[in-house]
Amino acid sequence: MLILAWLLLSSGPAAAQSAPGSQARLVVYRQREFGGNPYTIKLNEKAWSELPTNRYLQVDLPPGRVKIETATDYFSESQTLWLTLRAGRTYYVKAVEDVDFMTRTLLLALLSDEQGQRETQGLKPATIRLPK
Amino acid sequence: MKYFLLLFLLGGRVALGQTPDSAQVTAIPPVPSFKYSYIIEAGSRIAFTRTPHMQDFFRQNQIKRAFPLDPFIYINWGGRYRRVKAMVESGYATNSWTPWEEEETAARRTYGAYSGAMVGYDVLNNRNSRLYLNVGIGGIFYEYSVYGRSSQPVAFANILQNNQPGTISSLKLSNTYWDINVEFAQREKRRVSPSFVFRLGYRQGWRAEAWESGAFPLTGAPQDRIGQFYLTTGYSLARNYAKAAK
Repeated sequence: MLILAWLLLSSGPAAAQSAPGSQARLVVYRQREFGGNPYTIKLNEKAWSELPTNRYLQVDLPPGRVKIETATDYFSESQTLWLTLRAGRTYYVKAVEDVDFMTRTLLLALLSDEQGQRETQGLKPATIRLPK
Repeated sequence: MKYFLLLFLLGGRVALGQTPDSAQVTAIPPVPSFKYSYIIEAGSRIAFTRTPHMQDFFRQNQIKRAFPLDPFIYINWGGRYRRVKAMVESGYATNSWTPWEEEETAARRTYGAYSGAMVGYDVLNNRNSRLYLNVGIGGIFYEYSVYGRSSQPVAFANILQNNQPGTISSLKLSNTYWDINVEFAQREKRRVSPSFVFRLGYRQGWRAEAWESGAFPLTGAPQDRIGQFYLTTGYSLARNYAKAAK
């Protein structure tokens, strides 16, 4: 009973379930980082939301090419990831901040379903918020 | 030649220069992990200094004390081996604040310096930063002058004969100290890696030492243990060796 309650209450993307049949599901997530800055994520050139640490963003998209990009400011560099989405599949993109002297960037990588599902367990959904 | 080049390019499976599909990227690059580093660091420090017995003396005699925040410039050098860092440090107090001029008698810091060594362990580290807990020992030195002011003119020819009441030309204190501080540093990323360093710490004299004077032997002076809170902001340059993926 406790395990069932824990499973129901534990957060994490609904992406563990399969994506809707005609759509592909995209999950972009960040794990807990010490002192990580929030970054704006853009999808196909349009601002999607800010992504802070320990949060995930999720969206269902039509199949096809999608461009995932981190927006830049004066101190950050842009990173771009192109994916070809297929209907019914879920894509887990992990984002990690990399800070160097005077610059920072949000690294993006597509991970396996197993790793993505495992690492998104316990993460909270990000509030969809566009940059000011 | 150009036809050959055109045929060569047409015969290729993909256009040259086109990046492969980034969907092939399946992992975040590993954290750079250099085994050891040589480090040199320089920066500034602001320190809040307490010498309670001398401060009591100043207060009892209506001597306005110099501003209690002491700005320092410093240079450190040393090395890091895995998660342990050891550094030799030395700093010199600068006179960045305008001295008090409106008081009848005022104490000014005329000298301040420290030198010592510290060793630390990075209790937390991640891809981008290291958080060290450092402990250290060293020596710290201070000298003050007390100015007794007067509106009475003094001819320069007689300046050596002038003996202004309330003036103390030199009050010196030296302490050996222990130090504990928390250091936040950016993680080294390349073979030669610059980074910012921040340190918040406290140091205190091991035991109370008597104040002395550089002008004459001083007897019966109060004893003080220097206590100092400080915040350091610096810039370090590390030469890193023996890279190994974490």
